[in-house]
Amino acid sequence: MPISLTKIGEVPVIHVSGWIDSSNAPEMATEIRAIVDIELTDHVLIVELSECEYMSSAGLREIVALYKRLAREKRELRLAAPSRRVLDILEMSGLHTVFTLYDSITAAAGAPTR
Amino acid sequence: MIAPFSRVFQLEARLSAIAAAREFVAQAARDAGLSDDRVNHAQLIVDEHCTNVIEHGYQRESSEHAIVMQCEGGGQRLVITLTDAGKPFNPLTAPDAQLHAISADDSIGGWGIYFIRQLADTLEYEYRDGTNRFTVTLTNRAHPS
Repeated sequence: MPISLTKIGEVPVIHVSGWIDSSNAPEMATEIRAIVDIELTDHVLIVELSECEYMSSAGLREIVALYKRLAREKRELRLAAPSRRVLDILEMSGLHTVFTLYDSITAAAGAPTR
Repeated sequence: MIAPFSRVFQLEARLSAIAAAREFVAQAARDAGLSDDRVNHAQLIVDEHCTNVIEHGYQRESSEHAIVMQCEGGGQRLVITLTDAGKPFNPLTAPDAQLHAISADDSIGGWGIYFIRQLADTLEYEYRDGTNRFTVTLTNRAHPS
């Protein structure tokens, strides 16, 4: 479950890859929280999911928790390039209507701030 | 075409053991003739159910407890039977997730049960002689996702 960080300008982009399930979702959340605490100085955080091959509800729950945290802080979570399998689970849960989804990191970074 | 089969897999009640159960059910689903989407769904169903059994049925991870999975397949149909000796846990009546809960302060739960109900063709549950027995049937039928 590698997590890596890049930046587009000041916007942190967290790349989540591999299989996310109940055995490693808490670890993913801890790593993302650490990145957010240190790197998120502006308004927008992008989580990029093109290499995330699988996500169970345990991973989804952590993404929801992240979304809620950022919303409380008046910040914005943008999900970029979800893999087909992750998109399936987002659609099945209905969360694709709650999260803001973008086809690419570039699109996510270039969208106007809400 | 593979002849009808019945296979059994046992996993320790540990979250790290679920990956092997996913692999096992995926192979069974492929051998049963299910589509790629339905193979993926079989994996998600087993993952979500085993997670619930470990977290709510056994209430902790333990190598002393187990979940037994039987896969009976053939003719583009797979029947997965999962048994455990944890607390009675009925996935058919347990509350599932509600989208409006995202605005609540409570942590989100119940998505797993919701996914299982969405994806399975049929679900059966019984608790007898100290054993939870959960049976899921998957075919290549059209599904909502």
